[in-house]
Amino acid sequence: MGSADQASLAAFRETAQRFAQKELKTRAIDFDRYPYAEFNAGAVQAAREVGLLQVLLPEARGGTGQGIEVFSEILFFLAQADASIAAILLINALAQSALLKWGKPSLQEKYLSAKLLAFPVYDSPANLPRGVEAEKKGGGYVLKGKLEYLALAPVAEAAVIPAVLKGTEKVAFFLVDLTTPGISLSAPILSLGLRGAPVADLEIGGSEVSADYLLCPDAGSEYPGFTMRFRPAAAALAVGVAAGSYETAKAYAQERYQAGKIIIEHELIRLLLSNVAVIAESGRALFGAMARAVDEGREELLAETGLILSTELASRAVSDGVQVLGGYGYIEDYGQEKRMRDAKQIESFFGPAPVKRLELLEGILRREK
Amino acid sequence: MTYKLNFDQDERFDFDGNFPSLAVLAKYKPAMVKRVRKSWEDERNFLREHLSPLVLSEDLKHAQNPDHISWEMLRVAGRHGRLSQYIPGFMGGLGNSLGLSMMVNLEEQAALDCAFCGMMGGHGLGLAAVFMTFNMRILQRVADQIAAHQNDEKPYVIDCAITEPTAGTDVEEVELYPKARLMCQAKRVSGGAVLNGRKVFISTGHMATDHVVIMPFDQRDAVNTMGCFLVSNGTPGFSLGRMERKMGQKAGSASELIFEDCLVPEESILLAQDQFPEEKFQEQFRMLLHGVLGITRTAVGAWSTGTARGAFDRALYLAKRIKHKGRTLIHQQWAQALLTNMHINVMMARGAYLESQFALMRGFEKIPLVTGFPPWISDSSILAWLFRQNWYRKFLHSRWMHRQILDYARSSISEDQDARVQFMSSLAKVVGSDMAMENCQLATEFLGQAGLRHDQGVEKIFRDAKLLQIFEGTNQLNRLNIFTHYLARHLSGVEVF
Ligand SMILES: Cc1cc2nc3c(=O)[nH]c(=O)nc-3n(C[C@H](O)[C@H](O)[C@H](O)COP(=O)(O)OP(=O)(O)OC[C@H]3O[C@@H](n4cnc5c(N)ncnc54)[C@H](O)[C@@H]3O)c2cc1C
Repeated sequence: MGSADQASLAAFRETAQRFAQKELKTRAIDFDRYPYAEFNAGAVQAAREVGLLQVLLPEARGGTGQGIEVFSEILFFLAQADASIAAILLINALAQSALLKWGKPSLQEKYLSAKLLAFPVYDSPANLPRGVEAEKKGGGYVLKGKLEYLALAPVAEAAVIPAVLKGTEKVAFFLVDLTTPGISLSAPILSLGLRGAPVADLEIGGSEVSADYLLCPDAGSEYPGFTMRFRPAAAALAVGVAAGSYETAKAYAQERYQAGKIIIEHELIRLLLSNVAVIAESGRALFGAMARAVDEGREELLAETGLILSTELASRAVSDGVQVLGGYGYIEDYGQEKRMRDAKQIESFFGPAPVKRLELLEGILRREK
Repeated sequence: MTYKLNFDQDERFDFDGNFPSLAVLAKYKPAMVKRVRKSWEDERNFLREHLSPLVLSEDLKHAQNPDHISWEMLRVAGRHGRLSQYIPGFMGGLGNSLGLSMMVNLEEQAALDCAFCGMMGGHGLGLAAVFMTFNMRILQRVADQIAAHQNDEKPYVIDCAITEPTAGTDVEEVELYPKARLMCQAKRVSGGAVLNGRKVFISTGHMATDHVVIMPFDQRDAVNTMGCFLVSNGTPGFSLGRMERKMGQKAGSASELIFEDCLVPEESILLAQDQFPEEKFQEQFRMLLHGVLGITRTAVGAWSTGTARGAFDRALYLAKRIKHKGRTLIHQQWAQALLTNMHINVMMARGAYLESQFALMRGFEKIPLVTGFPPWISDSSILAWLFRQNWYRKFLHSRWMHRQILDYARSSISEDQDARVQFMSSLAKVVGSDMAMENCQLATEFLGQAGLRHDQGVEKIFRDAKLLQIFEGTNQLNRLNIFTHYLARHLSGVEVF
């Protein structure tokens, strides 16, 4: 995959902006009450209709075959309005791509058009959970165990899940249809952020699946590399949240009076705003460069370090985005507190922040050997 | 969802090890420190036994229904006397949390539930304001009401309304009042005062029976015409507006209070400049605001320290259970260092609030209502008897006596002491709240998904903690306040506000 041409980048940017304006902006705060308000199925459906849910799929599978640069640009714009919907696109795309990479054509046929696919995006790739075990039986496998905190599980039709292949040390990826007998989900989990991108615990009690459903027998070693393509998109999500926080805070600071001045005239407000501006603005260039690098198949280091930089900075900066609004930042009305929660949630994509740093060095040293 | 907040590692918390300065103080003031320690132990028992089952379940109820009000939590506080923690025993209160105990106990409360402190904080702020008006008549009335209703379905609490929709920071600092865009104003009428305007973000507003309201008689000269009023629910012209939907701090409400030609009778005016028109009382409002902020910002420092500790406690608990690469986190170097950083943050915040409390005890030495009474006074049954006698109340509650107390209080605080209290309390507030937020950031990053899901209690503290950097003066304002009272005082020609 080469880098995107300017025309399609511009076209998708416009679609994303229009979509964010029309479908997301006004009701983002209402839908953020999930699981105690309905799931925003309307926006997901609308995203499907305008092709945003299938951006990365090849034309043969009903998509437009775009690369990560276009995808990241889309997520950046959606995340400014509602990071939950942007996160759904990303999580679903991870599962879609796993299916494309490792799944049999028949499986792709069946599930790529599925409603939504769940994916363990909060687990660290080099340390996949070992709570589910897969035992070979006849021509297939029996799956048994627990997987915690599976993203999109409450609203998905099928899920990509890690399972230990019994008798080996290896963790494999399986696709499981969530209607399979023996699979049960917890109630949707109330989370810090991205509440509109539902999460649940999964329990699987001896369900039989055919061998076709084994996607990747050695996800433990293949999956970390696989995620590199998606790190620019996750960075774009975080930067989008920061950009939304920055625009909201700047606009507010130009209207609010305190100490007889518009508060943007106070230097301390400018310093707070600059904290958010730094990542919102430079982050755009960063995730663009990260995306082009992975689209052109260049080295992974930028994707890995760029994700750490942008998610960590964004998640701290949006706290200042709240601070600019004082008490009004702490209440839901301006969406600033939601952004603070969302950015923190995004920071744990692909594992806890310090673990991502440890894995970075592990990878560097491994490659140098 | 059942989740019992864990204390297994909390057992390791020993008083002497974590409060070395109090251990030293115990050599010189054994009775005082003994009492602090006893009160602290009682508080811990109360929190474990009665409050811990409610912490997460109440928070969840608010997620399910944003209009929920945590009466259950208030009832638990009421049943165990916690609503009169700050009222001395001889006035009919529990009086276990005055002075140093207030701070040490607040840390404990916050370590369990930052939002419980928020709910109690509105009431506490109201009491601090009543104390600083030195209106003994209304203080006794409030104390009696608390005692009479602490076992009710809806126990009696108060709140304190300062912030207005267009004036937040500006009403947190005496120097900024002249620049503030105030919208509230009181008017003198025969038999009392008529209030007009709106107050916002008032903690505990929807739970309170009476509201302490601060507004001037003349907006253009607010500092010199300030009034402080006690407004009861049901007073014509008073109503509750919206209840804000907050990021965290769900246990207490943040409420809008609306005044439309609301008549407050003379006997409910806590303090009005025109009651004491003498020249020497000109600075009365400054003293009131400084006194309230000195106490409450130190209190927020202690509450923040508890919050930082709450994040640390939970991270430690989970670190003993979560595995990374097959090994429990607690055995890994990076996790050990991260937990240590969190612990350092707690200790720094604690040092700051204790120093601030000592500055307060020194600065307000002669005002035991603020600094705490010696045990032989607070527990005195003779004094308690005296305070119940009508003749004594009549004497203590007279306007003449009010003037004497104000005069005494005014002359007992020097300018230097006042400045010290101001910058120390701002410092405790800034250090504490920044450390609290930092520990929440660290805990969430460290734990990944366990830090994000509601049932582990970490994400709740993250949401609760952010308020600490915003209210009681934003941390920006408090930094400027430290500069004003610590540095600018000694530098001629340097202006801050
Ligand atoms: C949950 C909650 C509970 C509360 N409880 C109470 C209560 O019980 N009683 C009560 O009276 N109030 C209460 N408040 C109000 C609180 O004290 C105010 O929110 C706070 O003082 C900040 O004021 P503001 O929100 O109007 O922000 P603003 O004053 O509008 O501040 C906006 C931003 O401008 C900055 N800023 C303002 N002035 C300056 C300046 N001169 N120089 C530099 N920067 C400046 C601030 O730091 C902030 O970043 C509560 C608020 C909340 C959210």
